Amino acid sequence: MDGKLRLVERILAGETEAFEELVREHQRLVGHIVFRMISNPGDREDICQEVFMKVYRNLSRFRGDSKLSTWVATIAYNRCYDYLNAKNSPLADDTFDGVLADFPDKNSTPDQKTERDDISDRLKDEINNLPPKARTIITLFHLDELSYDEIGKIMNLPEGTVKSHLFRSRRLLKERLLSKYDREELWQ
Amino acid sequence: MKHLSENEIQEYLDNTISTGKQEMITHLDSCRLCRNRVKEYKALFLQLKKAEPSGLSADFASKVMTKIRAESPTPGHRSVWSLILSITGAIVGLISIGYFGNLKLLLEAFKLLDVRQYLDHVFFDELSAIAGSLNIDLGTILYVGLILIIIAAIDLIIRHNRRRPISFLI
Repeated sequence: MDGKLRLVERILAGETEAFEELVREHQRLVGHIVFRMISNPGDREDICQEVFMKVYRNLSRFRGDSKLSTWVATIAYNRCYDYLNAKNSPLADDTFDGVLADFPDKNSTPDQKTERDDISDRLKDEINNLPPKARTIITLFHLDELSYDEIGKIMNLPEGTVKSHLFRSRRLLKERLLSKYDREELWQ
Repeated sequence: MKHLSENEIQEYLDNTISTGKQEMITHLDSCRLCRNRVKEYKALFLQLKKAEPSGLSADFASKVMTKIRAESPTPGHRSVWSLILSITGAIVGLISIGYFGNLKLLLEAFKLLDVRQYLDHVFFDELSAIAGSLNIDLGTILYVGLILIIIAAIDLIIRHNRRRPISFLI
């Protein structure tokens, strides 16, 4: 039997403490989704806890049709989706159209360009300026190393849409970084 | 071959190109401009690997477990019990209405809701006849149902207080 399925079986058989193993194995993934989707830092950890409570309560519904990580990530994404809807920030409005115009440093001066030298920090800021779906996709692909297909399942998006968001985001980020740093700096 | 598009370069680096990969490689060997663009994306991808969002608190898993222990019983048992309690409760409730109240009252309620308009007349009449001819000891069924509910409730209380999943029924 698959290790993850065995873990689920143990928890369902009454070994509650085994759930901690499940939490530790998936908290980074859940954190990536929640921290990328939810802007309010005060709500993020509470939402992550709610996600794992929901995972625990619904564990008997996990049939092993998908990977456990995909199932947990789907619960996390749906919780964020509900949260954003409740806050009147529906993801239906989640497009790049406004983002291109709204990028804050589009016409930054050379002085502003040198304000923050750390490329990594700058990139994090630029990622946060992307729409929630796009920044979640880019994180799941590059940090969690999920495939287009897995990301599509989690976010209930066609594979083509996942690719489209990913490619546009990366192109945008590249252009933003190249507008602030020399190529040589970026390549270092 | 013309220069690679932005999307082609990204697919190349994602290693998701289905056809024409060899042509791309050949083109990259001879085109400095495209090689530089590939290099830019490679640099971006390396940076993206480092762009970890701020993380959860170090004791996050412990906090979740504290909540879980307070919530026990285990998810599987809980759902079975919920189902048993729901079904038993519904049956006992219906039987109670029929036994302590009046079966006719139940039928009158259906009439008030004008269920007839949704049901075939013959079917409704047959249902009334069957209900009237029932010769089951409803009191016994009710008694057993109530005992089951009490046992389940005691079991839930014990499991909650011990904060670990024990069950003497399942």
